[in-house]
Amino acid sequence: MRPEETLAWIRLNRTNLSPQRQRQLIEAFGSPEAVFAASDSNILKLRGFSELHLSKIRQAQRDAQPERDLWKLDRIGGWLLTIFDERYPPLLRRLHDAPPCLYVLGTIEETDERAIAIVGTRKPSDYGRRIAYQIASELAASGFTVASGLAEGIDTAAHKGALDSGGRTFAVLGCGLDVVYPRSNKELARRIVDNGALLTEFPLGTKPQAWHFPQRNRIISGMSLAVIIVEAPLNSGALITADWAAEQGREVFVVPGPVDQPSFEGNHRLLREGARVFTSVADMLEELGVTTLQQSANTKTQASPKGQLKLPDLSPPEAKTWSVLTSDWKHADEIVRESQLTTGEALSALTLLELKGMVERTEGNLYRRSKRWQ
Amino acid sequence: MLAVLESGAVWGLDPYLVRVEVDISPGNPSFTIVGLPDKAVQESAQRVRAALRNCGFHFPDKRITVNLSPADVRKEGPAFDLPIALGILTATGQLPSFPEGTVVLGELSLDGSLRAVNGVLAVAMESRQKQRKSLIVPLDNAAEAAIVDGLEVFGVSSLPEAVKAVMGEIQPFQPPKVELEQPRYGVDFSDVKGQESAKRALEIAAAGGHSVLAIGPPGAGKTMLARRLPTIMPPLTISEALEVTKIYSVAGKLPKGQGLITERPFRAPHHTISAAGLIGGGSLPRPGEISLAHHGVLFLDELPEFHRDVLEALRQPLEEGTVTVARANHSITFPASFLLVAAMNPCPCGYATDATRKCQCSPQQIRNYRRRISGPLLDRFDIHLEVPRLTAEEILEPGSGEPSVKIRERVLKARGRQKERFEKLGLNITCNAQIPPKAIREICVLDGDAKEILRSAIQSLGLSARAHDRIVKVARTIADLEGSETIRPRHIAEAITYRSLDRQLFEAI
Repeated sequence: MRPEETLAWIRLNRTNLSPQRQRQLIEAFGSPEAVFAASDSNILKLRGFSELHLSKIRQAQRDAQPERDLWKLDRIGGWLLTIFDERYPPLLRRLHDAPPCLYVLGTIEETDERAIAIVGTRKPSDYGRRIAYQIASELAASGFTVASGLAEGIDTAAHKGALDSGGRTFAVLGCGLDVVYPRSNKELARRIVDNGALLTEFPLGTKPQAWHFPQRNRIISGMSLAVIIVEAPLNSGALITADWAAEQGREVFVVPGPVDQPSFEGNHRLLREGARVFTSVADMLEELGVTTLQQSANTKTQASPKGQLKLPDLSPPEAKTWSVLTSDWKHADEIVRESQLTTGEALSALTLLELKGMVERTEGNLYRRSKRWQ
Repeated sequence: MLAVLESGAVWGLDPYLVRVEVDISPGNPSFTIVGLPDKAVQESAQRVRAALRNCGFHFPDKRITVNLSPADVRKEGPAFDLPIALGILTATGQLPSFPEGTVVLGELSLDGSLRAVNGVLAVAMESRQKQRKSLIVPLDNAAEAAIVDGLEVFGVSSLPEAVKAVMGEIQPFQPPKVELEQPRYGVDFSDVKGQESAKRALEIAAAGGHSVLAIGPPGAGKTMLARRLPTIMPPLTISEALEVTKIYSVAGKLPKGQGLITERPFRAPHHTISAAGLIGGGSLPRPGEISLAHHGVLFLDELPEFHRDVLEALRQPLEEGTVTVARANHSITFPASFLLVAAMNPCPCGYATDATRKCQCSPQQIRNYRRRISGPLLDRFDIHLEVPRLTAEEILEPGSGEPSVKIRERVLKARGRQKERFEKLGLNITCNAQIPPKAIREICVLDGDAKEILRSAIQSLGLSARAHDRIVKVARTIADLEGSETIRPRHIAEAITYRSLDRQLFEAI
């Protein structure tokens, strides 16, 4: 693409017109450059265009500084993906409100057409976090790209799951590419850039605003084959994604949760309304009618040591402690009682098992068997 | 017409005897007190005049001068009322003579009855030291004064009774017997059901003098557990009990009629406390909460809510066991050797780790809340304890747990081992928590496997290097509880479980 062309795309992006209006302009005049070359009367002739729209175009023509944006974009290593580009996600392109251009940091590959979205609350339960991580890693290992929103909680777990199993993942942002939000995910964002991409329709320097997120959710669902809702309370943004998905004709899979936990109320509402139940990645793919791409990658996950590893030599207190541990978090006190060891013995056994990598510990003095050993 | 008596006062915690000189000479009637008296001492004149008249004594219409010597130390409080009154009676011949070696303290009310004053124990100790023979104090202070052996203590309830005491017409006060070995706390660990890891951690804390930070949702019983910590600490020795009683006496916190304090103190100041309230203050500084917790437990609930400067002020006492309060022209040092127990919620609303209630805080709020106790402050705690949420009925069930006496026996044994070891090495410390950095290698001997475990824990569990010394000291205490001279892998492994805040547990996946 010629630099002038890129500049015109950025200028169009800066007009603040809705994606539909922007696409209407491009369809009418052929290219962004032509849009800005068009006369007032020609623009006003378009269906639904008023003085207000015109003034926005002229203002962008006058005030926007796309050169600066381009320079900045270059500097952070990003690039512009237009809807004419063949790398543009084909599923997304079909939407009437697909963004005409996306700012991208990272790479987009052909296989990324097979994307699945995983979304959920920013404050998930342990269960939700674990499931998000597991689904993402299984999907990524089977050659799917995991799309999510880089938010804390479920999003973060999904991205990490995909990256940890060596797969690819997309993060769609609700802010400018140069504004990584939330900041706690800076390191994660860096990893995503190397194994996938950060995408956004918002111009550089855009601060995250509450109303950006529902808008970016339509891109997450729009570019994906299906959307998995892992954990969503009633007010969750994930439900907005589900609404978008339904509107866009994407399949919505919902992970069932404990019925008495408020953070799963949204899940259960969706299920009542007729969303599909998520039970396993294989079941979901079967329902979707897609096959996994990389059988080799698939076998890689199966090679994970589930149930096949031989227990290393354990001392009697370690063995006793191990026998009362499960895949669910248990408080140390419970472990002490069930193992019938003295408190000191049980606690030291837990640490020794943890050092062997067989036990995980989390906040609240809770322990469980680590994933490899469940 | 001069009369000289002795009274006493306290400077910081240090008692000294005061010579009360009463001179009555002809001249215009007046009543002057000199010797740097404060307002309460000056007002003594009014109380003494009214009390003497109301008890039927003659108050001379002459020029009365009272000198409190040493004259260059500021005197405060109403304790000189009684000696001044007795001085006037002696100087006017209403009392034949005043016996040598008698120290007098007490506040008068206008009808001649006597009220308790502060610092009596300290003055009594000083009187004994200076070989005085007897002490006349208000009846409410008698038990406290009688702790000191070899002094005749007269507890009197009014001015006429004090006169009788001077004439030798009443019997000295008989102190009740004190039993240090069986302190009565009113609470006991046998009331606590479950909470195995918390109980174990507190046992270790008591055995090694380790400070504890308890983290858990509201209502997890953090306060309830901390309150029971003194019950498993070794009983106070006689000198410790004297120190504690002296501090309470000087601070005016000793209950009426209370003799020696035999229980370890438990102080739980509210988080709005000022630095002066915590470490001591006032123009003539009085002991603060940390000194009131001397030889006992200082419990700070809602640790992150305390003002930063207040927490900063804790640093010196935690290191040195004393606190120095500096004023423009003097500074006073109070003892403040306490076991610190602090508690905090896992997040501002408190329910972050709770399965049944939803946490209302944003991740950013949680991070900010936890950041408030980061770094140097976190460094002060040897043991991090995570307490699960249980309802009161779930925790409290009298008689279901191990009684405090049993736990205390184990603690005493462990302390005995420590004491022996410290004496052998010529160290002047009492518990493992106080081991100076230089002596750690010598005292905390790890066997080969234990070393390996500690090394790999620091590497793979994300423990900070500053945790190293604390883990080793706590492991030393665990080994002492078990009676083992060297620190074995299981000891070090258990000690590692008590360092949860040093680890990145809060950012699971």
